[in-house]
Amino acid sequence: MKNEKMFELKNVKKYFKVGSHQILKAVDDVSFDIMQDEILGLVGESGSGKTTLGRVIANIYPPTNGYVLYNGYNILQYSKEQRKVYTKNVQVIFQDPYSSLDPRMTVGEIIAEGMIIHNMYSSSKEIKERTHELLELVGLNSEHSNRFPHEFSGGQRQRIGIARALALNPKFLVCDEPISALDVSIQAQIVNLFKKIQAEMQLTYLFIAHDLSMVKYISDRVAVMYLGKIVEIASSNLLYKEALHPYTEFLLSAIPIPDPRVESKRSNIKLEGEIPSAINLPKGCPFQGRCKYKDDSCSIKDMTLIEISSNHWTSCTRAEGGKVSTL
Amino acid sequence: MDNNLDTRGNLLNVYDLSVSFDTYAGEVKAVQNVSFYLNRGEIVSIVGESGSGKSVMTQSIAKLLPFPPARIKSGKIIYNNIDISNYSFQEMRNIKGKEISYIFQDPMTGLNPTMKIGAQIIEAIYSHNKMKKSDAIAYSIDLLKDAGISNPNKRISQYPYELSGGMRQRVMIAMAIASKPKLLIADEPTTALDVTIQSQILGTLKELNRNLGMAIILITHDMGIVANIATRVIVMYGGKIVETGPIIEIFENSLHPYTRALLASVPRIDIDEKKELSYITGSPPDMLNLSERCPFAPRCKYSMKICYNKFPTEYKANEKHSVYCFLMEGSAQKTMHKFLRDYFIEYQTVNRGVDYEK
Amino acid sequence: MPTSPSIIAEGIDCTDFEEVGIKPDEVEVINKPSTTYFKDAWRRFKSNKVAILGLLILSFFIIMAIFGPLMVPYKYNDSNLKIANQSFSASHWFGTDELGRDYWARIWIGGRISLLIGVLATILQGTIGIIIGSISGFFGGKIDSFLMRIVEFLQAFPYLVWVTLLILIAGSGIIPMILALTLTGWLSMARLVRGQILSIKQEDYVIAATALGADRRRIIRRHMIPNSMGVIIVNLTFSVPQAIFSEAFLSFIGIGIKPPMSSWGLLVSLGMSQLTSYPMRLLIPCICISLTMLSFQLLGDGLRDALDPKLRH
Repeated sequence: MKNEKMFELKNVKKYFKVGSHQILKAVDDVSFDIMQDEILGLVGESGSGKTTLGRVIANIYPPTNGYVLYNGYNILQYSKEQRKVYTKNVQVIFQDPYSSLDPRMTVGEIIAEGMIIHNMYSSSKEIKERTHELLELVGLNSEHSNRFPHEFSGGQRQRIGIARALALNPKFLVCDEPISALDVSIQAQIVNLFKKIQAEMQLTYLFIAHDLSMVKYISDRVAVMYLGKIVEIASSNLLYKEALHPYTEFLLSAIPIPDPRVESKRSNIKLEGEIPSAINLPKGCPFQGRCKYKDDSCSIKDMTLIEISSNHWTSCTRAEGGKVSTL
Repeated sequence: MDNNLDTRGNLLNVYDLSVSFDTYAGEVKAVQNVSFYLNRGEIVSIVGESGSGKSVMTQSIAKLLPFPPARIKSGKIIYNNIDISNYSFQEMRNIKGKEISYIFQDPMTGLNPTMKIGAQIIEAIYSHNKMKKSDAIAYSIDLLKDAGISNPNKRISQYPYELSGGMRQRVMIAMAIASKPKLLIADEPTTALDVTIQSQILGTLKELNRNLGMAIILITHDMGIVANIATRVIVMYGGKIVETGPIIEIFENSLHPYTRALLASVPRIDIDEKKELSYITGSPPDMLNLSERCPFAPRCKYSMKICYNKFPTEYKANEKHSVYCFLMEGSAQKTMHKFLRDYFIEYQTVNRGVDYEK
Repeated sequence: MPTSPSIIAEGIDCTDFEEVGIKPDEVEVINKPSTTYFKDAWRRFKSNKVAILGLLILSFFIIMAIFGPLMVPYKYNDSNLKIANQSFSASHWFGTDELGRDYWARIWIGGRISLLIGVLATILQGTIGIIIGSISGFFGGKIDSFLMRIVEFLQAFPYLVWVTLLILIAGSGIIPMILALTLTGWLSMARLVRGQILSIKQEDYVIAATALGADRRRIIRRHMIPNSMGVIIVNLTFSVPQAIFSEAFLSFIGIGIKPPMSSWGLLVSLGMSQLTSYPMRLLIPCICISLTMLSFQLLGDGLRDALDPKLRH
């Protein structure tokens, strides 16, 4: 595992104008690194900004402020040709298998599109062969390439989306909730496919999801987002055992465990409150409204991540690890 | 159909129900020959994935499907000792919404975006009760409170778009319990919601079950939710029921390869093992033009020749635990032992210490 | 491990319990036959009886417009005063007009002209509309505002006023007529396509194409236009009757197609002046215009139902 930084995010902000006066702070001052060959999980609930952050990294949206460095270079300063090369290196897997494939194209055309755009092969025969290879790699048959997306199940469509992204031989995949819309037994299948491909093609992933159990399974490190800010980053095992941020603790206690004996013994922490909107956020920590450890200092809190122990970063330590073992 | 158990006390008995859809491409046998029962006040979870037939089955019971193209091919539905199988829409009016309520995954299917919340709840109240307007308003505030909504007085004059997804679902719950139904069918009610909100809503459902004695059928594909809320589980695959039983039995002693494979493919956050998450190859079956066999066979590591020719009958592991699998046959012992060994090894890794008598 | 005694009665033996395991060929089977968008739409269209009726009526008129004049030995402008104003007969199926010209030939030549103008104008105006609508929808911002202001300005005035104005500038005849109709008729297509493009822009597959590195031309050409095809085809179908009617109106008021040429509108105009003596000369062209327009409407309705993607799944 090379210990080089593939991405460095510095103070990235992405704000959207809503209506005439209001601003939606989807991503609000985020800084972290993604290391070569790692799988970084990014979890959060709705409004956390994780999808927006993923798209900023993929250069689909330019950031309102701050910058993204890819192998040391600022992607915002790319020329047109460099941007095109970036699309080869950084690909995206989308959440909704039903809208991420063009319904009017055949599966073969969908997978081949990237190859054609980047002139990767000279003959259509080569393109066809590579398309069939990719279909087999994701567990489908080559005869499927003449069919249309609407004829496939969600899991199959997602695999087509993966084949499409892999056709460009990328180095980095932004996986934007790739399994959320899939059946449970298929989720494990797709996640294992991701692992297999990572090993075979030496990829680095940003794995965005709201299912912390699955993210913990696949990721090396996990970052937790809440309303546009990163609240904690740690290796996946450590995050569970020694969560430090109150929101992480809150999130973990809400996740149901597929074991009835364990579930019945869990103390039912009465989780209060709704998730506020990302317009009109309070000053300081965005989690104030629902936090049981809140006090007056929270509204002036600096949300910078501090490294508490080796590679475990957080902006608040009140949950302090041991308390999570109410489970 | 079990003649040994006294079924008169059950709230719901379904016998040999088959429901198909007639499409231009052929017959889609969405539900085939399913039988199950529901006790009063029980929380049963129906687990299954896309195409398993779980929604079609429950919607057929509540007569929520469009007939045609849906068609009840055979079977009996007995609710509260009344045979409602052939009830018309008119006859169902006393049951739908009053005795049996249904909530969907997307709360917006039941909410009118142009009406205030309060007005909609009162409409739900009036459809089965007569009362003065002021009483209805007071009652609707109570219902919102029971459904776990904060500030109910404020909410009744708001419109659906002003509420978050979780709150909208709670409004649906409030409307569903307005007539104090005996059965609430909740079809993936939390799938579209955040996990912290989901946890609250599951808690609310459990409270309602306790306070109102209302039975709940909860349809889901999330084994964590099942473990959290259900006392009994029905597992469906490819339009058929493959296993039913009490919750601990299903999680720790399941006898159907699909159930075990499903459980093994769900990661657990409290366990540190970095071992490979097992998964099931392939996809759920295409429900068009099915042949007569176990629908899980092509994806089943333990399938046998007979599995491709017939669908198994019901085998009883014990009084409450039924499984539909040929592994239970005496002649299948060798394969059955292989199945148990594979999963016993798995269980050992997880340090469960389950004992098997040979 | 409790196992039940065998409860399966007949026809089994121990070979039935041989292990088979996973069948990899059968795990990803799709049973439905493959269909394309158009095959699917055709199937839906076929079952719509009213739409099929529209198609049949339209086919009748198109066939007659092509072959009708060939069925008689007379040309549309052969005048022979000796046989003027004859009623229906074996040699002149629709009789003759006041100049002794065979009415059958005139009606169907008129049909050719009217249909030709209607269809050509629609295709041309549709093309302009698609181009402008795509640019407007795709680029948004100031370009969109500018183009849409033009559209709104033009739409504020009655369509026929614009067309009349253009004809008076361009002169009468087939080409000026087509020109005039084209320059005024592209507005609805532009708005429609713009709306479609705006909604398709948000779809994940367009974002995916951008992420693949597709440039703007490719996205419009390969993703946006094909997915708007349904809407475009329906709009084209509804635009033809409007063009036919406009031509009829202009010829009727005397500034469109002029005699000795023939068009349905012109024949209506001539028939009006002879209403009391020879009512058929008004009735026949009116029926032709009405039925043709109706058939396009029915066809368009049927196509809309067949091609609407929301009804597909």
